[in-house]
Amino acid sequence: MEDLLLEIKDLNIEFHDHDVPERVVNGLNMKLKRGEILGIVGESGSGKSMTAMAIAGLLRRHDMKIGGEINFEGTEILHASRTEIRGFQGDDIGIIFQEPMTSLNPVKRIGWQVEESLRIHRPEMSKAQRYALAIDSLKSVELEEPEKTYKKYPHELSGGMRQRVMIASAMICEPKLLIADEPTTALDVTIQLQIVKLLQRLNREKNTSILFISHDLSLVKQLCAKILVMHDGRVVEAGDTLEIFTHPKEAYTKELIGAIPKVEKMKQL
Amino acid sequence: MKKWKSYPVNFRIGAVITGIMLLLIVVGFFYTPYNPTGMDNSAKLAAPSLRHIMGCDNFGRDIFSRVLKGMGNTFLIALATVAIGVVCGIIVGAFTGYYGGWLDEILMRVNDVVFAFPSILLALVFVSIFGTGKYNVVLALGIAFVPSFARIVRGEFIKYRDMDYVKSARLAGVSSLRIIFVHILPNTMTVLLSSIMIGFNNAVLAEAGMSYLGIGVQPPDASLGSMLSEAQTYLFSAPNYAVFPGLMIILMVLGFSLLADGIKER
Amino acid sequence: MENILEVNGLNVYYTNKGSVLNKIVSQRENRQHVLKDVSFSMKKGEILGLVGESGCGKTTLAKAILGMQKQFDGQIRLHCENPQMVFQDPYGSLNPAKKIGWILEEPLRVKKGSERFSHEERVRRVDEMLARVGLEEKIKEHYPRELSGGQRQRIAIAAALLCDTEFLIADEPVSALDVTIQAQIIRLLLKLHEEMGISILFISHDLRVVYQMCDNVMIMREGILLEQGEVDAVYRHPQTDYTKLLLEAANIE
Repeated sequence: MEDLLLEIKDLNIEFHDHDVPERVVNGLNMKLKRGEILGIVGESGSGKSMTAMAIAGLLRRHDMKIGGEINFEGTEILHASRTEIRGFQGDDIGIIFQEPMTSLNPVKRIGWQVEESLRIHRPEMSKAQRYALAIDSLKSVELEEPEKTYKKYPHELSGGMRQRVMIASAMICEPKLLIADEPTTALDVTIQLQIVKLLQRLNREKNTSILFISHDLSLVKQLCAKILVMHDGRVVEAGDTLEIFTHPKEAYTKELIGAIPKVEKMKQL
Repeated sequence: MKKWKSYPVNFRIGAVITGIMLLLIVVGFFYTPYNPTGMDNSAKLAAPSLRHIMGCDNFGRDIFSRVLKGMGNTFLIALATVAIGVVCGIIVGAFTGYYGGWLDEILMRVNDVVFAFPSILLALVFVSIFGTGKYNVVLALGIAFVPSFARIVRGEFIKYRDMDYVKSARLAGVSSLRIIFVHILPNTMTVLLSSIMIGFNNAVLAEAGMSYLGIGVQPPDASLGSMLSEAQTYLFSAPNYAVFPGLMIILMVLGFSLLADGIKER
Repeated sequence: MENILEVNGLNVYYTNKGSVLNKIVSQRENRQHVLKDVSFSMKKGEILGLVGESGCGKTTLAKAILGMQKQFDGQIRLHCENPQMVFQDPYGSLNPAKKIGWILEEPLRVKKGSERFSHEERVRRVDEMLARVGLEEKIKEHYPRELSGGQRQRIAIAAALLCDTEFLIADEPVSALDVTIQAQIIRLLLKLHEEMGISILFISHDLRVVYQMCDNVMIMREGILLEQGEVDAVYRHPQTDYTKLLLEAANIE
């Protein structure tokens, strides 16, 4: 029981911004152990990003109804106060988004953005300590010349480098959980592979649990030991990655796996 | 026609206010309770009563009748001003934004020069050349309004000209003129509409300023702006003189703003 | 089989953009060599894959072929009229202010002279094309924002084909779609290819999709065509490290 980091019980998310309430997540249950990489797989509109937002405490809107519980290290965070959630965000839970273009502030230097969560969660640190940590963090995501990158602006970096910076700033407080919401979708294939390898290494070295959200099954297969397949806000199937890939039980899972492009001629089919 | 209920609330409120205002303006063209320029010495600065529901001014003229007439004047001046600004602004902005290059460079510098002059100053120059009168004011204000609309439209066109659907249209053999006016222009409408509303409000206020300086609507003809400036002297002795024209300006501006917000939300 | 497209020694340079004033003031010319000596040919009815990552010059090549890139050195010979393009982002390729029916009729509406279509003829052709791409007629009354990504991409394909073309450039047409939808769109493109005999230049970064679709493939990096040849040959015996890296990233078993 001790190594359980995150447990979600019966999560329901409903939008009320239209005339008809729209249920985007429906009775979701999941568990994540310390040091585990869990993949959430689904197509757009399956509710996977909403689930991630709920865990990160980013779902706070008046036109929304949220039910269920999210236990993070024994604390219920779904209905916790804003101040309490702010204590978690960036410190114990880091998050990286799909679009590295928009998730960095274009008018601030890289260093400033990487240090931001230190400024909030480690106010006792001196400027020099922060700088040292930021450089370390940039180094750990395999950015060349971290001192130079520190002084650059986001537009001077490529997409892959930006995503590395995002990972560096999410990892700087050494969170127990890293939520990666489609972190590689906007990147080139060869860069995707690098980012996946980087996440794998960080998971190994720092024992960070990773929630990897993606629609790309072949990436998830490479990275995650366990997966959770979502469709229309529901969990279709969950379990061991290899088991699901070799013996999918549900029709939807079979369809998804069947849709992975294979190296065979469609023409002759 | 969609159901009335399905429109946003602010659209409905705006539509009602604007509708009442337009109705009053139309009525004002054909009928006013009193002659708006007729003076009644016995009723100088009379307080609102059943006979004069908004009271009378310093010459004993019925304020309600003058408000009805003045609204029409103000509305038409503002409308004509914005129309000139929008039409010229769209033409200048669309071509400079879509084509770019030298044309853009030259027209935008001319734009900057016009932009640099305060509209009041421009109007004064105009009026001193062509004489006083509301048509010259409309022309002057209209020209002063062109640069801001041109900038907005140009920005929108720069945003849309490299969109994939514009490229597809070009590949399909659609002419540039058709792309500009049929394909891109409808997409700029939401932005344009809200700036038209802001422009309209500015025009109402600019007309008031012109009339205040005595170069707009000439007395004894009334406009909401000229009435406000006349009422200034009697602000404490006869507050109703300033309040009613002011209220009408506010309602007019408010109605249009709500309407614009509603259209944008839809 | 005759060629539909021949490209010989194509070089494209970009000079620094910016305002005309900037150009006068700064004498320093910032020239970028985007395409370096690109040569290839394409047969009629062929599906040719072009693989490369963002910024490698794929889109510039497409623009040059379509005549949207006016300044280049070298030769481009396209033996057909009305080349068309399907774009990556189905959200951007349909005019949000217009209904689907209007968008589909537009290429027919702008035809001049003797080719001019009557309204009935336009509607007939649009309906026929909608059936071809597997959509219902009532979709004409909708705005693009009301459609799913897959439906939008079908509309984009239909609009391109309504221009009566023999040559289509598909620039990452499935990259923005969900996997199950990707498979549908690929099947649709293959079906249309078979029925109408169009030639397709298929641009993608996904080697698996390219393998499914294409007869021949070209690998491009930093404006240079590194390899070209039959898909099987290139995949089995990659000649350059870059191709090997791409194949590794594509996780081909």
